[in-house]
Amino acid sequence: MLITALRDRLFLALPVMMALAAALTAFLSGSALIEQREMAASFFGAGSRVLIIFGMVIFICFHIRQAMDSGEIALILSRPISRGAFVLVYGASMVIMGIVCVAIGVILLWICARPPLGGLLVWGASMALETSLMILTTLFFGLILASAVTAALASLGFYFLARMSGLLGILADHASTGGMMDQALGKGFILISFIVPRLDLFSRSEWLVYGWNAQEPGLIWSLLQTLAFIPLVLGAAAIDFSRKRL
Amino acid sequence: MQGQGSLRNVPRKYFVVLLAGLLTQMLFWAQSHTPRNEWRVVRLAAPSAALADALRVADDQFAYRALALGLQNAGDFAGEMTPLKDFDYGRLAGWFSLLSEIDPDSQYIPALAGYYYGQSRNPDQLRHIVTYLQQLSAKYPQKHWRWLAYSVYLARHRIKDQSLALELAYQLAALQVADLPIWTRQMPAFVLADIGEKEAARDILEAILATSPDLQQAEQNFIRNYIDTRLGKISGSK
Repeated sequence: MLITALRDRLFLALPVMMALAAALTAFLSGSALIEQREMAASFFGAGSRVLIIFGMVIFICFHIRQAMDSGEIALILSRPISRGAFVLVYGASMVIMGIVCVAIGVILLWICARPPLGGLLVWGASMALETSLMILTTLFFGLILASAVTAALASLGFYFLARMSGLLGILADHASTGGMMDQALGKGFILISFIVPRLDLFSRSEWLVYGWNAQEPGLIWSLLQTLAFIPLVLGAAAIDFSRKRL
Repeated sequence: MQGQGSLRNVPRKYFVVLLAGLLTQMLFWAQSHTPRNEWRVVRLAAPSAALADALRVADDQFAYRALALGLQNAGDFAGEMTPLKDFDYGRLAGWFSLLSEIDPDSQYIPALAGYYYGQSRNPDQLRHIVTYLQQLSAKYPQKHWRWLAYSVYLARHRIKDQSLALELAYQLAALQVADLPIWTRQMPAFVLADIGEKEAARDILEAILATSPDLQQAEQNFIRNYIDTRLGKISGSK
């Protein structure tokens, strides 16, 4: 996995893209009337999050498809390793790579915007959890879908849905007071929100602006959500991969 | 076999297509690079609070900063500047209020409203700014009481509406905020002195002197000097 990442220049492309984002951020925030540091922190925080998630999703989807087509996965499975264990180990190695990318992002963020250290650490930890969660979700889609493009689109669609999951709750609340159609839609939103993680609670930019506020649930929510969702997505991936013909 | 071969192996027609594309792109640029003024006015009224909740739910701090920077640069695009008189201040004030709800702690939007959009010479436009600053400081006095003081300045010196300035000054003096500087309580007196109500101004300043035994000597001296030189002698004071 690490060799593939190096061969595909993941660890070159992502830092370069993030450095460009940092430069753009510095340019944009430099024009702010006041609070330039806060502006840079929130812009780079949001930008690096998108870059890391998009980069990892695209890399994983195409890596899995390549490994499937080249017979690399079949070769690994010819050894005494169960398919469930394979999913677990594969996922863990991807998560380690994701954490490395997040660490690079945190360092660039510190250089670019000097956010409060406590807030930066909490944001980085939350970002690592968000990235891990999305990596495992992408692993799930990559293993069950036959096309890398479809898997990437499904993963990114899921990510947008998960980032907007708070909105789903608001819509469901509003719909419950409407007509029959609205109420049915509201129920639909609630059903969807059962299996969509609350990524809107993760890596919030205000931590980079105002620092870590202990009164907020913050990292605890991120941790609990990750612990709740990882078994779900890994279980689903293991079940589907176990019955897959390679 | 991997790697890049020599460019000589590439058919020339591809270079022709490339050059034609480059030429077309440059022609397009020549026609399209003239400054556009997409943000001539704040075209859209601020959305409702409910819609704003929906928009900012993914990352409200990023939404706040991005919209704030957009408001700062509204009207200025690709080298073209829009005079402040051409802005719709009613809509601007709507955006200011909305964004201040998204992040009540930030000073960015009130600073933008007061120091940048507050440079307008049109009193009608400035009234929108004053109303926004007044409402903000009334809602979050601990963090934003200074903007009420600034709105007194706008009303007094820019709009030149002394009754409005006096009303704002009284609101400022009445704020229940810990460690508020003494000059906030003196503000109504300054406005009253401006409009010729010297006796009322003197009453206020004397009351401050009488009810603030812990006032620093320099502050006491300033108040006494102000009364002496601007309002006339105090009867019975040291």
